Amino acid sequence: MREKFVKLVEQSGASGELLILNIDKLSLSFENGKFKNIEEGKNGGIAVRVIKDGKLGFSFSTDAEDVESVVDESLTVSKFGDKVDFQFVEGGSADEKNFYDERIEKEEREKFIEEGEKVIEELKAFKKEIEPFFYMERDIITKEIITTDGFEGRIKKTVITFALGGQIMREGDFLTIYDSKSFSSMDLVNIESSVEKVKEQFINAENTTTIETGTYPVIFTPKATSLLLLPLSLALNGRYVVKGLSLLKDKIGEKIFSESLSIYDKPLLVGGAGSMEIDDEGSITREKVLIDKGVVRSFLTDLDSGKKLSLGGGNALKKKGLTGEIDLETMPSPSFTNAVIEEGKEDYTNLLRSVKKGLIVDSLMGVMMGNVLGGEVNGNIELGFLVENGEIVGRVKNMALKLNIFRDLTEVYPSKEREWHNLTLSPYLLIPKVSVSGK
Amino acid sequence: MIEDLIRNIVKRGDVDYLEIRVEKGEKTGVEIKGRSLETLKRGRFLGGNARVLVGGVWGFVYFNSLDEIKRKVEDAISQAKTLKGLVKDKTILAPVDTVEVKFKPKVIKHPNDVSLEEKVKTLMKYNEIFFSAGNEIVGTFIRYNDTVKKVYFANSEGTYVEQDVIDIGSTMMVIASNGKETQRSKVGFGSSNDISVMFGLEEEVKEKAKLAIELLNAKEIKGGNFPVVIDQELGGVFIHEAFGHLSEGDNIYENENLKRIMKIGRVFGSEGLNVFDTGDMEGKRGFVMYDSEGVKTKKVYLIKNGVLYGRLHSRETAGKMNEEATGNGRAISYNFPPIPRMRITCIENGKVDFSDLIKDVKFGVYAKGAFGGQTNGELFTFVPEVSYIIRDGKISEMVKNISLSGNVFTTLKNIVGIGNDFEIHDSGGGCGKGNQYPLPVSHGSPHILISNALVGGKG
Repeated sequence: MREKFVKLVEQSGASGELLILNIDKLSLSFENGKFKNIEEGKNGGIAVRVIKDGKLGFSFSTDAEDVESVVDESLTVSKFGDKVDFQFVEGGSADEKNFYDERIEKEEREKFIEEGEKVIEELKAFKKEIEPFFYMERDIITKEIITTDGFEGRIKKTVITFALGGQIMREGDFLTIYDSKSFSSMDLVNIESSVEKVKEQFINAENTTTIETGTYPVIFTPKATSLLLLPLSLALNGRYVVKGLSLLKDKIGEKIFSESLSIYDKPLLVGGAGSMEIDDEGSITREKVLIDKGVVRSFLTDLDSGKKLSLGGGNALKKKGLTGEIDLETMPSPSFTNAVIEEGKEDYTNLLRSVKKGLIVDSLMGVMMGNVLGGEVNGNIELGFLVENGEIVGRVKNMALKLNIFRDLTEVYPSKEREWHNLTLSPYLLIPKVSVSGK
Repeated sequence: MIEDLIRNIVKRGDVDYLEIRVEKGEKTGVEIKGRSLETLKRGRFLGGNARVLVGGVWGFVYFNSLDEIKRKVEDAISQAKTLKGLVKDKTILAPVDTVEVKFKPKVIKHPNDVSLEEKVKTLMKYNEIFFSAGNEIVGTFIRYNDTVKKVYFANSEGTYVEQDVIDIGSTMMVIASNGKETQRSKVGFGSSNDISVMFGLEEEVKEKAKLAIELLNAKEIKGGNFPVVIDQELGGVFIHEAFGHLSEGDNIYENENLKRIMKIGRVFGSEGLNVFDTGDMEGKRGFVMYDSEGVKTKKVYLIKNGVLYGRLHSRETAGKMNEEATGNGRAISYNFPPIPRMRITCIENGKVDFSDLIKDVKFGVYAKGAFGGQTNGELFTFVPEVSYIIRDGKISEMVKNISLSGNVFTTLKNIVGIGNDFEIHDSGGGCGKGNQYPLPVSHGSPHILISNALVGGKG
């Protein structure tokens, strides 16, 4: 296929990049305490990008044999495409599987089901009212990238994802508590610890309470900090920077955030679900310091924006929406692989004790609909707890929270402890002044 | 050829039920960010799945290559057999009429009749209009997608449905900044049978760019509980988020608590409140003549005269609840089994003139347009595009950065006025549930007065 592709593209006087993708997926779910179903299948195909007369074209097909017509189509598309001045990855090769875990590939249906039954039983035994759920998925991904500029790369990786939790639905009071994790190695999978976390939150949620509209200290859990990273991932996106859409566009070297805030992209982190040796354009990945003690140091870049910003590529992912999953149909663009927030000096319990009156926020609804580009994190508190004199006193509901990362992250206190939530490794973050509206 | 292939395979007597769904089609996508094209793509897909019931237990396997169909059916059967001991409640499918049909929508103008070049040029022209509104315009984000596909469905009950499906959707966002903050506005269009909806939007595009700039100078308000009037678009998003999801059979059928809460006959709102979901409105993005289980569309009243009346079912959830299948079993692609999903979800037209809706509001908010919505079943939240203060029954100054949220059940009861200006306006994106996003849906409503909603604003 390599020869055929190179020949076809070169004959047309273009340069090109071919991605061959295969995803083998098995997932299983329990809902409302009952086994629901298994879904399994293989998916993939080819995606081609060409640059012809300086213009970029893109096409794809689920039929991997269809190289000829996909190249044709991408050439047609390039006629109307955008002028670009980058080149596809030149020379070199890669054949890696550092993030492949044979144990994940071998994980059988039966094992999945056993895990699920155990979790369901445990949550049911914990509290009769809970309607527990469990989801587990394993993916085996192979990605091959060939460019007419002589690059040939292949990586194979595994991802295991699980989500578990439960719902309590009382008249006028719905409560959903869950935890979800995603890793490339079985070594990091600890289902039991997620079950314990969910149970603890159910206990903390037993009393419902409220807080008056005002400005309060808020502790974001490691799960909730991924919401703070949403506007940040746009502001740090090289393409947004190049196009002038990022509010950080000319802020390299400037201190914008609290000195306690350091943020990295770490593509080579052992066990990270987003870990990869080459990105979806074939660039060799490396760790990037994006925010260093509050100072903007770098941006997330693909080949295109990386060239314009003289930062190189390495963060180009074919991600569909917010899921980390690689998507054949999406063009590569800058994104976090694994987003990592540096830990702080204080224990979480000390942070909690320092709060006289404030909140812990675990999940927010509606943040994506807000003015994310403007730095807004604006949402309804889906799961949050009131803290008084350093103690959790109950769950708050029917309240909205609002902050702007450029204004309100100038003072931040990260905890010593860090946890993974899908593609983010983060501490708890205490933000001293957050506006909360409610009663 | 696909027809013969799948019709033959489903004819086997050794399973309770077998269906095969194959989808073959093309997708075109254009994305413009700032002054230039971000994505331009055209691609093809072909794939299918086999779903089988053995002893009341599902097996589901998907694939890309049709050569593998027979083997994949065996895989699905063996999967179901493995799971047999595990499943206590056997799946029963609600009975439906078998149909044999090749359905083609009434196409007004096919997306393939407009060249890629023209699509790009048209969107680029709108982009230019956005930017020409003023120096405050710092960015744009235009996303256009069209999908044209043929869906082949055959099941062991003798149903064969072949459908041509078109989906066109676009959202064009404009971003204004004064250096300190950014504000945005948008234009959307969508259709399931007519690409013409993408043309002639110049005036609207121009006005929305102006609106984004105006919003920069709007005031913020302090959050709290106020009477709120929402426009047709927000009303549609509200009913989709707040009540549509709650009415999906799979959320209810095995959840005893929710079953008690969502009891047919229960009063949810005032006498004048009627909410329905239908697949039968040609041209709307949520148009679905036959769902992904080959079931013909039915209009379902979710709320009739304020009272819970029906729900959205796949054959499985209808079977378990002993209710009728409604044609809501939808899958976003061949990679997924069908689950209960919405189609075109609406608050039915009422009788009140807009001026009468606002005339008794002493102090409240008039919210227009939606940047989407989200719900967790009980709580909903959405962000309007623009809002105005209503003071002494009159619409006055523009306000910005607000969100609306509340409890679904109380808010439905708090609907105290239903306008007479029903509208459905399609745009890009779609509905998400589990991993299945974006599913083309539509929603509509007249203007609605809610006596008390939580407005998130300045702290």
